[in-house]
Amino acid sequence: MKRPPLRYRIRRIMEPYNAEPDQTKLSLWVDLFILFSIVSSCLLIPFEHLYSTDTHPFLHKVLWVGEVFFSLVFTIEYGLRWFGSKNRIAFPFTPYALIDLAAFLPTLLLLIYGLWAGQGFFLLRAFRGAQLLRTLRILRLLRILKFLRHGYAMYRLAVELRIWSGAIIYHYRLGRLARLLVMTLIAWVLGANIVHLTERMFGGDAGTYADYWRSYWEIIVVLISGMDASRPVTLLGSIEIVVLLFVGIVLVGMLTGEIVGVVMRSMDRHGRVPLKPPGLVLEQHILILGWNGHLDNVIRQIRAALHGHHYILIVSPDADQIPIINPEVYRRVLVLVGEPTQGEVLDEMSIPRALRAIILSGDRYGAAQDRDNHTLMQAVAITARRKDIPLTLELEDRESLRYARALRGAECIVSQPYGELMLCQAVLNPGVTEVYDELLTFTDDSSEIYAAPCPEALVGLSYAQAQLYFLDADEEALVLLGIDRSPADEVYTRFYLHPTASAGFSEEELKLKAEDRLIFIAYQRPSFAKPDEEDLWSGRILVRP
Amino acid sequence: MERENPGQALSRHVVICNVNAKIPIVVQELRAARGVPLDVVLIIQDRALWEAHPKWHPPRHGRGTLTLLYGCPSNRALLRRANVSQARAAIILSDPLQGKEADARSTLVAVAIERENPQVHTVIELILSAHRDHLRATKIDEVICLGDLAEKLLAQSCITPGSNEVFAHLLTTASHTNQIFLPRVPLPLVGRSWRTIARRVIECGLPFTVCGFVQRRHDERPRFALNPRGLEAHPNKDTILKSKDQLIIIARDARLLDDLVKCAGEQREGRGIL
Repeated sequence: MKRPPLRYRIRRIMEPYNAEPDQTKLSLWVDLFILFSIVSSCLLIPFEHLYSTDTHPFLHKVLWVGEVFFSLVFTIEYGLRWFGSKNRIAFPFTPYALIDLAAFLPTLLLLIYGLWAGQGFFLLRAFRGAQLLRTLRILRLLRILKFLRHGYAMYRLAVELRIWSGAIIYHYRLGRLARLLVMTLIAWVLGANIVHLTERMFGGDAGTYADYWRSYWEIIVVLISGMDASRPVTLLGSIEIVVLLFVGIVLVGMLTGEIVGVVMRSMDRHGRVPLKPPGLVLEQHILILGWNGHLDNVIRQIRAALHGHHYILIVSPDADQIPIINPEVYRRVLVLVGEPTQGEVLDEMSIPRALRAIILSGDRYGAAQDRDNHTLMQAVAITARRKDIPLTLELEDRESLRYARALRGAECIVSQPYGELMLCQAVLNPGVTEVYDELLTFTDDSSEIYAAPCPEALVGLSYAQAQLYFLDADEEALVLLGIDRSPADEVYTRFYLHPTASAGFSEEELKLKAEDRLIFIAYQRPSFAKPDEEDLWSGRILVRP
Repeated sequence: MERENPGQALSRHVVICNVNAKIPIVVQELRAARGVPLDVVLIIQDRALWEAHPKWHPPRHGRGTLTLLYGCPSNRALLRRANVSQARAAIILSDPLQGKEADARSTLVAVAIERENPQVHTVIELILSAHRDHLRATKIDEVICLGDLAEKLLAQSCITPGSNEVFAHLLTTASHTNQIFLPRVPLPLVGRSWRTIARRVIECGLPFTVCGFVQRRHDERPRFALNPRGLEAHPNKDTILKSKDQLIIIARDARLLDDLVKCAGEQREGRGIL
């Protein structure tokens, strides 16, 4: 492939890392370094104010060196972002650029003033005359806002951490183990104090338990094993030790039971998809309701499309039996056991936070019509919880489509008609199935169909001019197929493939408008149509991260 | 016209083995295909099943003939009666009597057909996508797996809502919809690159899109270049197309390619270049 221009490469490096195919690991390292610099430079600020320059001159020298270093880092970052920006004139006035400027400008001005005044680099005392500049340095606190640029990535990280830790806590019963630990701690502290006080009160200084700290050691031995623990000198102390021995047996028994339970559960569920912890609120996940022979390939396709960056939750009464066919593919897949039309199960699905929902036709509901009825009922239940959830239904009977039309926004797949048509096309146009296969499969090496807003630069041009533009754009392989002029919330309902004058389109109709969406064959979502933060947060657009 | 025994030998016809609910649409679509009418021979695996499902029976009238034969589709004598040796294509549908285990029998029918006529274009309907890999060793030309199709369509619809409308549009053979065609590179355009041909289509204002090409070289599997990449990839936008190569076009009619040849010819006469 032809190497893209330096400016483009720098822009891609400086953009927040999303593991996109044209982003290198350097972008990730740059992000991490910038985040480290933001945190470190913000930590310097309170130290400057907590410790006086008069009492801690050396500390202030070190802080100043750090401040100069981080300011230089931010200056270089600003310069690179400016160099790589699409519009260099508008860049300095963008909100992020203003925040970036505030992060280093106060220090930079102070530095320039110092050099101009002929003073040493590290002697802040020398800049007393520059009171205004010193006051301006408070603006450095704005560098905290630099985190905003990585807002979505940090939000994703927080979501991932929450779900991951929730799953670990549930899987290893860490909550119950923690409760057991607290009970042991209480028994230990109480036991040690009670026995110590009893021995001191009735036995004086004699015996091991008269020593306060020693009694802690003895009691922990009593609780855990009971072997080799010292004998109390008083009768009451001995009775207390016997009670503690019983408590210890119970606690150790419970601990052993928990550990055995975790091991047994792990063995029992080995090779099957992990259960969703009850109460864990999933976020930005994909729901799959029902389980049939298509499930594995649907998971593989979604994983390939999104590079496995979103959790998938499968909900079915027998979901706990779903096997893990490939551990890598099923890494972020959880199951929830239950009938998806039941209220409690619907609550557990975190429907308001889900990105998409797919309802698979259930194999165990008899005839095709019964299966479709069950699928439609699940769709009704889901949309009752959230009307605007993007929903895909697998139906078996064409007749069911008439009823499914009432579900606004739901897409229904009845595979049989597609199969019939594909069989005919395979006879009439040999080899065509290979093309469909490529268009339908998500991999980095295959093309799919995308719709993207018309780039500003092409607005007003003719459709043919746009075709030529993309034909000659070698850095990104795109074939322009047509225009989608349907309303924003009903995409692909009014689209035209290769509109030309010879196909009856007027000159005006062929002119591209700002609200047009262009239909492409592309390897990934066109780079000029990168989703903005709002699209990502809302999940309106799913991209291969 | 429907007949139960072929009175005369058919040629360039389509043989369909096994019947299921897809039969009426498949036959209807084949007979409605543009161009020369297609004759269809139907090998029905079970007369009782066929008679029990009158809804499966295709319309009696239409372009081309419809011939019905009864018996096991892997039977050599029956295949000869269907004149498979002269057939253009064979479709092997899954047998509903075999349920989810129908793939084995369908595959063996396809193998029997390929043995009779290795030149015939065999298209097989598979039930389970997991079996697709096993068919690579055979000479079956195309595999349509409903399950696989459903899975991919579900995923596409989930990731890019609405995209199924485009696929439905492309798969329908109505006159007002577009389809994917794979025509041979027309002789006057042999020796040109994909980019040159695509450019000419745009400049001539022709209502179709050249989306890529298929490279066919001796003793090699055909290489599909849908949406070819830029220079340093292989094959790429500037790969020179040879006479055996095919173009991948999306059009309402494959005959639109003739307009391109005509337009290119006019330009050559006018400017001395393609």
